[in-house]
Amino acid sequence: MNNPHPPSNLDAQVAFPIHPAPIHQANEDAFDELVAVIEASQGILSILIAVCDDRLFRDQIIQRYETALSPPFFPVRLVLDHQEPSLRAAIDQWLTAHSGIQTEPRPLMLTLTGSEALMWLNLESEDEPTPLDKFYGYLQWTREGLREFPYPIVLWVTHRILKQLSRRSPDFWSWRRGVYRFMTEESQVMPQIPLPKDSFPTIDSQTIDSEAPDSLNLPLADLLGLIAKTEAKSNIPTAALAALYDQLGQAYARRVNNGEATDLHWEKTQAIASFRRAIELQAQFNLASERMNSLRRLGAFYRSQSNYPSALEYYQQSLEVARAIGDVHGEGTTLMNLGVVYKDQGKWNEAIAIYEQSLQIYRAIGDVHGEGQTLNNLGTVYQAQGKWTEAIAAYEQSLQIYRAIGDVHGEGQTLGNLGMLQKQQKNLDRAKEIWGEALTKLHPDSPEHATVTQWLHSAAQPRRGGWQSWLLPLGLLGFLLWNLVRGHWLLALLVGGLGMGWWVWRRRR
Amino acid sequence: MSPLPSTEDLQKQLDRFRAANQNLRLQPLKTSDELNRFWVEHDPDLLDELEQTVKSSLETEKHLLTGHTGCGKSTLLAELRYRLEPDYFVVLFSVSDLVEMADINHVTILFSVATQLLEAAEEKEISIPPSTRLQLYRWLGKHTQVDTRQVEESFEVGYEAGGGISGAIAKFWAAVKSTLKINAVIRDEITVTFERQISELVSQINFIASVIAAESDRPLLVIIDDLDKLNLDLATKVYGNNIQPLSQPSFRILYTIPIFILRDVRLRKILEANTARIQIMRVGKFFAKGDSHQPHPTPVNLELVESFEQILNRRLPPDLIDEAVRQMLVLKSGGVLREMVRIASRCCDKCMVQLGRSLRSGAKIPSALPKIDAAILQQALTDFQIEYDEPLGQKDYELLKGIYQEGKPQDAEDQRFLDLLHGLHILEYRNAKLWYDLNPIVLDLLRQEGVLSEPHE
Repeated sequence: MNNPHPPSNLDAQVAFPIHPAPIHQANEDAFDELVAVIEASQGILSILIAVCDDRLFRDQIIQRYETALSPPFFPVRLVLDHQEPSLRAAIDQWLTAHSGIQTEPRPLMLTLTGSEALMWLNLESEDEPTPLDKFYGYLQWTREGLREFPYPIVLWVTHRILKQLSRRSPDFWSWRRGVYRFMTEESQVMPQIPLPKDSFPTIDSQTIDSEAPDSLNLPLADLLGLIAKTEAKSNIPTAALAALYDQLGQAYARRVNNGEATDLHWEKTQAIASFRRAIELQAQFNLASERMNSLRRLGAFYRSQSNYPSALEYYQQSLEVARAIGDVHGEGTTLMNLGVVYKDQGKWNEAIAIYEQSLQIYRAIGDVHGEGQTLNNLGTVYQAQGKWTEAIAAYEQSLQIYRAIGDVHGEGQTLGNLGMLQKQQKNLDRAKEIWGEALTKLHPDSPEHATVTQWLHSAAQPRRGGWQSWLLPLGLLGFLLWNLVRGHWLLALLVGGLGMGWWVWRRRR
Repeated sequence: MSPLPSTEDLQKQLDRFRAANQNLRLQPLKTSDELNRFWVEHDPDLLDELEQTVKSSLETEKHLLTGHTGCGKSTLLAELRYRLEPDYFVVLFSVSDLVEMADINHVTILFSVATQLLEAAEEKEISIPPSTRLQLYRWLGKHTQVDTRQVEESFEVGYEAGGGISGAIAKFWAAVKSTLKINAVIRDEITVTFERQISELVSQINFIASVIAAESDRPLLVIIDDLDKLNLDLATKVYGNNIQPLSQPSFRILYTIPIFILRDVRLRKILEANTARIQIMRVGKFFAKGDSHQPHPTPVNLELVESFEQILNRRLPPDLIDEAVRQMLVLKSGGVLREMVRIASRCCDKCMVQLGRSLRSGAKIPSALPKIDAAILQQALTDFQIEYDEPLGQKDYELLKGIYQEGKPQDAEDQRFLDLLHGLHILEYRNAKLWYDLNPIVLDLLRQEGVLSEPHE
């Protein structure tokens, strides 16, 4: 069909300027600080964590500091391997491949990227840790190995990874020289995340994300084709376009979130632009409930990009529409999403206030399922605050509801959180027991199942003892040798026997 | 004196009554064949009006049609569909074909719309992009718990131009429909799933509609019939509490609504706020107000009487009914088409009983071939009087008496009044003014019972 409006028509409508504004003052400050620390790190290992969600912008920053620092430094850029995302292995491999670098008079300065792609690599089997899990694991355990690299190392991560980093690689985290946050054009104020010192992950119930819960998983090509055909029919936009643009937004968001985007930056802007176009059309044709959904999806997409101010803005708008049309379920769902954003930012009081609101709504309309979800989420906030009693009370209530209505998956989610709470209270055995039960409840294909499996897996790993654990055997060995030298054979035999016995007992455990 | 009819004549007459009875089915005319054979335009103004309303409406506008049970709405809608089909992608369906009445709610209605849209796209060979088509079938399969594997295999072959629906696809649709119709558990699950996220179901429907709009050359119009059969409880639930989601699809929809909603001020307000105006299919008025209470009333609207007679003639050969009885039969319908068909059909039954008896060996051969005469009509009417009397109590008699005398109820929102209106004991007539009258059969009943006095000659 001869189509007068090829897909490029879409581009014209939704094109967005790429970073038209100069880097925000906060970005400038972060940049200056980063450069200063790198300069001060000549010839010593210095772990610098740089955070940015926008790949293009990130590359601009790298380019800028490499140019600024290339004398005195020799800049090297490395990308993490997807399968074995080890920081140490990446550096090792590069050094082996470039053995001639030894003669390079300038000190090295390493920039590592690629962690952002790990976010979206799927779990191949339940027993296998995800690449992202491996990444955190490697960071946690190979810190010592990095000592042999006396260079400043800039590790680029996204805000989402950063949030997990402190929790999942606490050892590595404690060793960082500094964290430098760079905000993308959309997020003017990136709030600091005041995580408690001893922070553990939890599972939030979210009924709506940037994709419909019932997503059709439609390919881009189909949607672009349908839009082109519809637009070719008339110069005046029709109501039918709204649903197509909403689906297009969902398709782009899915590609970005699953790491399927061929051009991440472009597809991100397209996701936003498509949702915005849908929202515009929905307003024009008075399609309020669809508008409420698209606003919420755009909010969720911003949230997935750690752009909390925009996420809040769109969730708020969605909330207003829900209230205007009297869609109480829609209102409850959006409130829950809002609560999660506040929690993400560490705004506990706001999160609790929001959840209280949604609880009130669900109770008023008798939606026990929503009530169960809200109580679970409320529990996660209390847990994050370290308010164990309140957290347990909320989880217990949530469990009671889920059991009463037979929502097994919901029950599994809350059990997962309850297990984590036990772990936080150092009751590891109890935690493992609860997680075991949670896994029998959670849907095997669900992300929550993967998360709890991972928690259980990491809890089952034998812990490596510190140097203190070698004090006793070394002491015994010393005493044995001393007795041998002194000719106290009987005592030496006794000590040796005791030592063997201890070793066998320890092995058995 | 004419010779007695032979057994053969009697048998032949019986067969003719049987055929007529077949044609006097109470179901609305839906197929083009039925419309060609039986359809007589009897409310041309409303049909034209509906056509123009749809054509001049905004693309997302919702329309409402109401009218007494059996006054010919469904047939009118079928005719409307054929009239609009050249300009619109019309999807007409009866919600009762898909979902049990007890489980009708805003979710099952909207889910039926999604199902019907997809099926219509398939029937009309709309070429949906393959991956999208696959995903939509999976979505439907997931919620109705119907296996999609065979359909998916058949998709791999691709569309066969002019080939119609393939075996696997036809099977899939049969399974989806029967599941929705008979499996209350699945209907329940669908309701529970989408009740909490009705806006998502609306989004899904809108997407399906958008796909059809992109691939079809005509705008979409969905007509949902039989929602006028809902009882007050269900209608309040559907239209009173959930009109918002029903008004949210992004295309034109014509909903049928129960006539008593017009009496319910709250419901009516809600509907009027969310939709274009309510179109009413009027009961045919044979008489001027009060005339029918006279001893030998003369109809004023001869044109309408004639059109009813024509409708009857299409189904019942004229020689099977006495000329003088025909008009009487028509007038006893009170202007409700289905009532006329019902009375005629009952008369046929009576004749067939007579004929069957005569044909039995040793029976007395009647002097003439039985046909519908005054005595047969009276027998049929007596049957109906008993049926109408069944639910009535003393209070109802009083209420009906009031209607007879005043032409309107004391309280138009009174539940009992609404029930009697729904049950066709009371008929609503409109011209410039609205008035109520008793169903002619009920009028006869009340006179016989002595509740109303016989008219003075």
